[in-house]
Amino acid sequence: MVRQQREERRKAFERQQRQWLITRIAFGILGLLVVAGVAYGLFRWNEDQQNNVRPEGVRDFAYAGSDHTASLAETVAYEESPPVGGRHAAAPYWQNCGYYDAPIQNESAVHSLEHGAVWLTYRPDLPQDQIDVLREKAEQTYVLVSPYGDQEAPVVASSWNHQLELDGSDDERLDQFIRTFRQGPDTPEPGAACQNGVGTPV
Amino acid sequence: MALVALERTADPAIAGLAKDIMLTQQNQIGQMFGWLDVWGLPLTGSARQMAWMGHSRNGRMPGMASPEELAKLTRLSGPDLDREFLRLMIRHHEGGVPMAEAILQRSDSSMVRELAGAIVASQQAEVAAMQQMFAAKTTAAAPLP
Repeated sequence: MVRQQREERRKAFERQQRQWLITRIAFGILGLLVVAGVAYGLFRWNEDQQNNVRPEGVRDFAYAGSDHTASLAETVAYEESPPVGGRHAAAPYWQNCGYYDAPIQNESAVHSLEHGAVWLTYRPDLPQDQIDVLREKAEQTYVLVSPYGDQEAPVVASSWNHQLELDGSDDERLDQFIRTFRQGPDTPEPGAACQNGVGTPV
Repeated sequence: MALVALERTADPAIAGLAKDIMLTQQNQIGQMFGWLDVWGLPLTGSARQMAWMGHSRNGRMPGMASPEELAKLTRLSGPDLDREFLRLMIRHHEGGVPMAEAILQRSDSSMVRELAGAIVASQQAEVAAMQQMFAAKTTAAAPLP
């Protein structure tokens, strides 16, 4: 009789111990998940902070906006190649953002710069895997990508009044440039559209 | 106003201008709504409309077209529509500049100041462009009203 009771008490005790163990394991896993979530959040925030810095080597210019040509037929002799600002095509002839595999009209691209886009141009002989990197960047909003024959650097990043020459699309300064200058403080018309203009990205 | 011009004008330059103005202003409105939201502020203040600008404005933003003027715009067509649109939009832009300058005098926030500064610069330039377009549409055959 006593042995039976002792037996039952022992089993009840073991059951309780097991339940406590399960509970402790569950809380442990929850805790790990919270820590993992916080760590991931911090990692992504830090990544953004790393990009939110003016990259080295950017050249600055001082063009004013709103200087429009009379028609698309009028071309502008820009001093920079590719251009970073100045006279450009009137509304609605800004170049729709996205990726292009053929050259686009400078005067339209400059209007997109006025609207806060970052224009990434690549020399046509850039290796395909690097072109693919740029093409993926073009899926972001306010990013314009096109080939440009008359540039020295393999990749050039331009925004209104800022330009950076890069050796390739794997340069970490590329993301820094986009983060700093897309819809940046020198955008003459912040919030203006990079859609509903001209051109069909591929 | 821009929507009326966009739908009814025969001039592609006017249509392009109207589209640009509409898209940009809607986006900028969105930006400002977003800031109010993040700051935990209501979209409409408790003081009288336009009280922030200091002097009495009877609650009306400077340069706003009246309902009668808008109704008139929808009844016009051709060069008359274009001229009236330009006239109203020039006045509307000229109203925006004192508002932006007023906030520049009052705000320390760098992002508010950046937007206000950009608005002053771009709207002044658009006024100049619109005045040129207006002059081009005003000939001896259709003199200034």
